[in-house]
Amino acid sequence: MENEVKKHKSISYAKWGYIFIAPFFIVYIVFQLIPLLSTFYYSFFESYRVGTQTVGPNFVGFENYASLFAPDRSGTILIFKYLGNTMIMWILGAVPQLLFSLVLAVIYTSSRLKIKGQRFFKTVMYMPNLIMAAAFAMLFFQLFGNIGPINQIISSNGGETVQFFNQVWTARGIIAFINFLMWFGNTTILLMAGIMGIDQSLFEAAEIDGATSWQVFWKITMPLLAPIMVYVIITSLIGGLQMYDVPQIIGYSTGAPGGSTMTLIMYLNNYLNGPSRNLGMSGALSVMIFIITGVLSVIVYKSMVTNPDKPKKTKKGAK
Amino acid sequence: MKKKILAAVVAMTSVLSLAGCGEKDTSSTSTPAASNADSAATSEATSATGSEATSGDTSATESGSTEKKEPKLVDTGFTLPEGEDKTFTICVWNDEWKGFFEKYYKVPEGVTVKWVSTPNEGGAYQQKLDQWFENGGKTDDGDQIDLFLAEADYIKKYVNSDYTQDITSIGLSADAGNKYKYTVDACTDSNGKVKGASFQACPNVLIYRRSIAKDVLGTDDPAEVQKKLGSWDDFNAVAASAKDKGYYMTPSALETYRVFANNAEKAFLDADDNFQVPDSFNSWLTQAETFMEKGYTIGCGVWAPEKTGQMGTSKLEAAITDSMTEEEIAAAKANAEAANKYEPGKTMCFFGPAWYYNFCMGQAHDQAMGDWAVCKGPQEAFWGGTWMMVPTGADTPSMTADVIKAFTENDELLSQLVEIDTQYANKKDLMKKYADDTSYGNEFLGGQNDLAIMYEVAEGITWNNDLHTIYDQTFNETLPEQMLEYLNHLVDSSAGVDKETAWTNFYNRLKTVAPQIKTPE
Repeated sequence: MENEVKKHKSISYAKWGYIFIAPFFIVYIVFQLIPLLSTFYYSFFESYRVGTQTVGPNFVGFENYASLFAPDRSGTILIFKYLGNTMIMWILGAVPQLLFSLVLAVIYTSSRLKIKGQRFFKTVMYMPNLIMAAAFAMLFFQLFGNIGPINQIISSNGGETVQFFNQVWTARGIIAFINFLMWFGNTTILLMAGIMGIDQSLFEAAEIDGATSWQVFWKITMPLLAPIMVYVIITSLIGGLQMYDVPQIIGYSTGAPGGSTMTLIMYLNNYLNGPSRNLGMSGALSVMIFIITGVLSVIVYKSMVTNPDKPKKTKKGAK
Repeated sequence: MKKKILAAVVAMTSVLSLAGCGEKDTSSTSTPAASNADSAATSEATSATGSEATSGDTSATESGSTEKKEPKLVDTGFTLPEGEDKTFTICVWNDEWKGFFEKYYKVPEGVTVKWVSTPNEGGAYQQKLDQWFENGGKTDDGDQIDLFLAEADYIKKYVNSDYTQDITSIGLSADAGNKYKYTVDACTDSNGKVKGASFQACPNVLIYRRSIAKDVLGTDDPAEVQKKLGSWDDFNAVAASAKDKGYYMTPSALETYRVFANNAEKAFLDADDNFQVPDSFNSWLTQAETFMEKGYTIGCGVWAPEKTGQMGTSKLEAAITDSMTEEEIAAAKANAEAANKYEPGKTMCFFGPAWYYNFCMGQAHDQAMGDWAVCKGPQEAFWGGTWMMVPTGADTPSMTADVIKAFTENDELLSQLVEIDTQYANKKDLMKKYADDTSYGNEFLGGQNDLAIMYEVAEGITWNNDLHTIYDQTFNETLPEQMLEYLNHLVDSSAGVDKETAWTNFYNRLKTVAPQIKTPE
């Protein structure tokens, strides 16, 4: 990302270039790089509060990491459990979201269908994203509550109350659905932009050659959309790993039921914003989240860009 | 049309649930106008779903409450001595006490009062305080804190710290005097130094619904009801007969938690930070298990909308008309019960102090005004309370002393607090006067003099510092919530988790709250 600096010393106007990009790097170093490095640093220390007293900071080496990976009394390694929760809820939301957005994007950009009122639909689809996630989650919390409208409809039809938030899969499903609803508009617009960036003459040529819509989609749209697809999936993955506000509300802030909706960031929040303000453990956890995010992003990237199509690489720096 | 109905339902649930939780924050500061608007919104929403029966009597009660006295500023005659800072900085987490202060305390000339409010959610208030005190007791704006408020659940943390100072150092007496002893003990540190004072006492009482008590116990007279609910054994026995009549004994499995917790024989932590379970907790859990299994209560939290609904009126009763035959009524009842175990307005007993039933039972005020009464219940307890703490380094100390004095000793101010804001003041002789006053009555309780009951309960409340930890909030809120999952699992194996898992989850949570605590393997 930042390896474009310090390449060659020329007497030309390069220094102006550096001056112009300096503000970004200064802000980046002060507000991103230094905190990032200090997180790594703190993760090797014991540092927390007991009441109004501070314990540490004492250097403890990898002890924080060790306790992060120590099994609890039931033998569960919590960080894996919460990573699993996070990934499950992300996949539940992101896969349908991608498929749905892809279908919508293809339909809206189709030169055959020529759908009217595109702007209107784009606005409407994007709308849920403008609502605060917490507010959205509160709305669903009411809707699906034990005495909420959904259950009133169920019980007035003779059904038994469904405790949506006390059962693992309904609770996770609702969280995934909220994320789906909030983000599909954003994804659709990105994919539409990607499709519209494809040379129209390719579609026209295919049409003249008598290709079906299905063939056009698989042979032209999909391959040429791959770079945008990679971008969409990786950003969605990073966003998914940082899932916090929606499960915090739906899971009664304890990750109910049974910690099955507890995400990594909720776990981090318990360490950092609880009475202990445990800088050591939250540092170690943050570092792990950093590594997990990096590894998963590389996996997604590699698995999608192995096809030796040259043009794809050009969009690499989008993130 | 369907959409309209759905919209009305959504509106109703949001209004009702907001009434449940939100009201605590705005509580005492709400003016008659605000509560009018509140109840108007609620009754509008309820009438949309068909139970109009109650909207009529709400307006009647509202006009009654406007006859109340107008608040009057009390001049303590205090003048700021030379050399003290002219800005009086107070840290609070909501507007409740701020409202009292602004209504009743006349700020001496030349002094500017500066409020710094940080909401309590997620421990944010404590975090801010800690940060400021590490900074020498200065707020973000650089003002020296002159007074801050603390709650029972975390008061110990500040009492036993250097952030607070002895009240005798600002010229106040450490003697309990007319204050309730438990409120003084709560802010006394391990060296016997008193670090603040509370303006209120929060005796917990049993709040019961008169109409249901008549049906179940045959009487709604507080003295008679107390006889029948005077011990936990009696209470549990009555729960069974309430169930037979189709009622819930309590609106939430966690309803009695505070009462048991307040009467604990030991703290959750021993001297070496080992986690231990007090017998009182097990007694509560056993009761909750029985109540859940036998259907005496609802598996929901303390602030859940399911519980709030229990304060309202049964929709079923509204649906029953005079023209219906006995069989039709029985059939309608059976139908409603089978369809919805959350049918509102079917609970007999609630537990809480004055602030709870006066400000957090909005639905009861709107839909069942006067159908309530209080008695002492099975055990004495308190819930909540706000302490005014003296911070170290206060630079307007004589005013800190004057404010604390006014809110603990000034009869003129405190009687307004009692009469206008239905608070229970922390001054025994004053409260005795109200307790003995037969003309005093609370409209919500059908004219019963609740202060007489509270006076009796308050006498029995004790505070032993050894029974409290700096993590009380976790033990009083997070632990029961984790147990609620197990309690729900008891009746529906697809919901929640088993007991062992519930404990494991709590221990895991405790690790994040306090790494030094040793939990059982």
